[in-house]
Amino acid sequence: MRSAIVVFPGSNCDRDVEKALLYMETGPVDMVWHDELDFPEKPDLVILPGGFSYGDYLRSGALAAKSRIMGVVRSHADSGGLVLGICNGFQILTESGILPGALLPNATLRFVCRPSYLRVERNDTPFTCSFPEGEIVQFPIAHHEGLYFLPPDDLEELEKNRRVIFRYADPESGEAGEDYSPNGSLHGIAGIINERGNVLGLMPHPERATVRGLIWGMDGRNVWHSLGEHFNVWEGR
Amino acid sequence: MDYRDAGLSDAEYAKIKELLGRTPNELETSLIGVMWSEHCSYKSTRGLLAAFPQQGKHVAQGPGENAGVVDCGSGWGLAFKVESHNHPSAVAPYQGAATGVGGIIRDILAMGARPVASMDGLFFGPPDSRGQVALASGIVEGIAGYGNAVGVATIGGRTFYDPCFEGNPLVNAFNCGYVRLDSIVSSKTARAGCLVVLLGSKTGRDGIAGASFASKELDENSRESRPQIQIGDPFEEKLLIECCLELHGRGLIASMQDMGAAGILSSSSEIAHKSGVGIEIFCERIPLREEMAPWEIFLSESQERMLLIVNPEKFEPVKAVAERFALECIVIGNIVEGDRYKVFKDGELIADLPHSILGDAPLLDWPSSEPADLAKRRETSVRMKSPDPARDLLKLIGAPHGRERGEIWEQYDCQVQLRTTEGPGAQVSAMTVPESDGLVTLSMEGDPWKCRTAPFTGAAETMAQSLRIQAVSGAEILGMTNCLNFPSPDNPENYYELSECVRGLAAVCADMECPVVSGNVSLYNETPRGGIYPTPLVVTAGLVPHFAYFVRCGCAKEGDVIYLVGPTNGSLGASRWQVLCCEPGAGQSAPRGVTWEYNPSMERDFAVRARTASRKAVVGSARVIAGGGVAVALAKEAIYSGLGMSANLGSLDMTAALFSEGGPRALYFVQPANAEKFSFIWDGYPLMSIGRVGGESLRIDGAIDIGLDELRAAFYFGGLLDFDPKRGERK
Amino acid sequence: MKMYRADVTILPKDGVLDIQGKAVEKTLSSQGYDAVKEARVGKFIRLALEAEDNSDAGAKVRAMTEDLLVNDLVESYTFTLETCQ
Repeated sequence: MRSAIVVFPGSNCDRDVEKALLYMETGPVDMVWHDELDFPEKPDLVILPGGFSYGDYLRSGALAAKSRIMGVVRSHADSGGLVLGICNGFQILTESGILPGALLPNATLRFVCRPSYLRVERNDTPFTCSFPEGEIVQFPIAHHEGLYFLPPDDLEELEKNRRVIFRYADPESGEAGEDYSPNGSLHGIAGIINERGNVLGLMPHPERATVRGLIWGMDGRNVWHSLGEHFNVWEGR
Repeated sequence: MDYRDAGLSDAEYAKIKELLGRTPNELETSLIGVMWSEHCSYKSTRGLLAAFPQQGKHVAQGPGENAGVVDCGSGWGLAFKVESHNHPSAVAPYQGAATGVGGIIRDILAMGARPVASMDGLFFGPPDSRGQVALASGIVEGIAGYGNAVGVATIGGRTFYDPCFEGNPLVNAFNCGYVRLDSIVSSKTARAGCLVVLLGSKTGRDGIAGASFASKELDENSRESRPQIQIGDPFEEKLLIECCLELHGRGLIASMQDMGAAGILSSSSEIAHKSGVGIEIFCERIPLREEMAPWEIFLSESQERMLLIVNPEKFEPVKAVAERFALECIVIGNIVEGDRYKVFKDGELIADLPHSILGDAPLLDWPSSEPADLAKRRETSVRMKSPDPARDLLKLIGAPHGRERGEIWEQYDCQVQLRTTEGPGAQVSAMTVPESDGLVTLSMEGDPWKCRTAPFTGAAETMAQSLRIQAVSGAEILGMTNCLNFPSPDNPENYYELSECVRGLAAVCADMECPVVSGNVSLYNETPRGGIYPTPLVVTAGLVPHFAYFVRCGCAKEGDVIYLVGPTNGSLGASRWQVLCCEPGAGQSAPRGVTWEYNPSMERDFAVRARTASRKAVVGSARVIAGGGVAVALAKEAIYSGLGMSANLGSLDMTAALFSEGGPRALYFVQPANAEKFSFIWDGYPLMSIGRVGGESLRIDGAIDIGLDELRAAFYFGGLLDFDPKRGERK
Repeated sequence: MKMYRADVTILPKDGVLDIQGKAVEKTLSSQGYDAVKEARVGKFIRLALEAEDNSDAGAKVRAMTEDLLVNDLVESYTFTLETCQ
């Protein structure tokens, strides 16, 4: 699996995602600067990492959505290629219209960094096929704008089409929903997929729960494992 | 301009005229005035600081550069430093704190290191008025806003509350970074023929004379002085970090300096002075945001700028890298032979000074006298006995000093860069070392109450405490950095406290072989209502050679044996209990009483045994006795481990046994199977098996029996003793 | 070509959670300003631009505002135009 990580000037999780992918041995990783017109080599997976892309002035992700590299990211997605937007990457995907909705300031109006518990709502996507469905996992969050918003009718449509992939949950009861949102996110939405099922945006950081020996666990490994499975990375090993 | 407006005394001005052999012009007067200010020259403390030991087997770069560097194995060094941003944060909390973080990050960057982690020492007035709460939250948001965006994790810190910090909040920003030991940047490597290059933001009137601002007391008009405030742009800083690291990594620069206090002046004159070369700066080349006079340009503290020294043949590639990061990159001057610091404007020479006059400010020797009431501060008027230990314990873990501070540190990104092994909330913060199985451990300590009643022993206790925490975690000592926060040195009693505190820190550093590699002094922390208590803050860095040796706190297991190592009692003087609980009624009293007497041989003995316990892997969890004594240590361990504890302290003086502080003492939580090995390690040192882990409550025979839920309610919800944790509301 | 000044005011759309607005409103009423019934927090952006005439300037401002300055899912905007030197 060849991965391309897009590096915006204010990205700060680009190296972390690279570290996680190399740690999981998923295959070659290209770091691609935001003003490039194309990828150095055709990737299987494009990742928009977390950070503050262009300082996140105006709105988070708004300026990044207009950057040069986004043209080729969009066509990669249009042709069915996989795209994963994490945190600021999710905001860039909504700002560029590749995913629906908007990410508004947290209900607390504060930045929040802590472990968050999520229920895996679907395991029939390339990003989640290694998770048991309904499993409660822990990925850390670190954001100021993570309240997922969509007008009521569209939200209903999104739910009906089962496009919510990760939902904030209570680790003990397994219940998920708005009551468990650390940021006020509607319906407890932490991650959604596009209609075609090849673009995932999520606020929590799976790469922060991958490498052994750090705080806050390793539940994020299964995201990379799912992708590796999808591309048969480990076949014959 | 009158020389007095430049902050110079009559004697200093006379000295300048003598050194120059002429009268300096206005520009020269203001340049010298700033460089001779307390903030830039350390003229009041340089003599005292000479007492700090600077050598050690791990030291790769001692004091004198932008930050110190210690060897942390596998070819990598840790550059680290702590610096105050007290005055700017008092005037503009968000921007003051944010630019404090930005400034210290550039200090680390200037060593050629990638900044990886921050910590913050915050000292506030009690959070019982809206003004104090707003100030504190502005400061916390500023730290978060800048640190999170720039992609440097904030992995720990200290928060302290006392009325003496009302109007005088302290913001001490610490940062550290990793640098290959063979590529540490030095300010001694500028050579004649090199270009002087300004990289980053345009220059504006930000923080003009901030350096002399920080060398004066805050008065009623301080809030009027807002135009001086520096504004931070973490996005620009992130670009600067990546750009400078790439330039340095590709060997394109001869040296670099960050621009902190006194901006271009201080960075360029330092490099000339330390490299022993002359320098010429051309005023009109400096990109400006607004029309400015030359003295303003040289003193401006506009943020996110770096000074690069570049060989002429490498300037084109330097410029190309800067362009990729969309950073302005301009040649503003030349390094030349000689010893002159020259400033030109449109071809005209407007300042011409020997750089030594800028770099070597004369020392000030202040009179010193023991505070008249020092003996009285050591007396305790009330009988030191707790009528209700359970209530006092809940008060101590629920008070702003003792409670869990998730509301602060959840605002900090403590994980970015994926190195954090132990983060906020723990006694020690830890992170991985590149290309190694080792961990760097960091511990920040400060105790103004103990320094108030006993400057020498209070400072010694502060330093010793930080080293005990390192030893218990399993770390070898690499070095320390410190920030000395004090009121005006021109008061002889203040100066006495300052010199005694420095002596206390230095004594422990010498005895425990902990070199001082960097530091910062912040004086004049006072308002017309009074000065702060003496507040030396220290950060020690340690190295656990392999992560398997790292001993954590808060992970005791059911059935563990609880050991108290060290004397049963420390001292109740100037303890949390004495200040917060000793007076009848709810009020806080002033710190009083005698503190733990520093005992070097006992400290050394403790450290050796604590490290042995780590290497033999016989410890489940361990916690150094800190604020609130054994009782608070047991309570925190119970809360974090999610388990009850039963203990018998077997003491006649229950209040002292529960709440006394100080001394090389710790709680260890050990599996019964390892108990024998553990006891053997501590054979010959005071050791007592005091109880077992288990149950649903914290029980201390004859004193305390509190359910875990009630402990949690106090700890997590700030002393709302009638809080019902199950229902999430007040009973 | 003439120089214009455009003042663009951006507000959260009706029906979109305006947490900052709510916080401002709550704090004001808790300070005794009970006359306040609603507060909305948005953005104000001042642009200086060149255009042929008023309608050209208006078209340009609308284009760039809708393209970048607002997210029309959650924000609405108004603007005023003035000629300037």
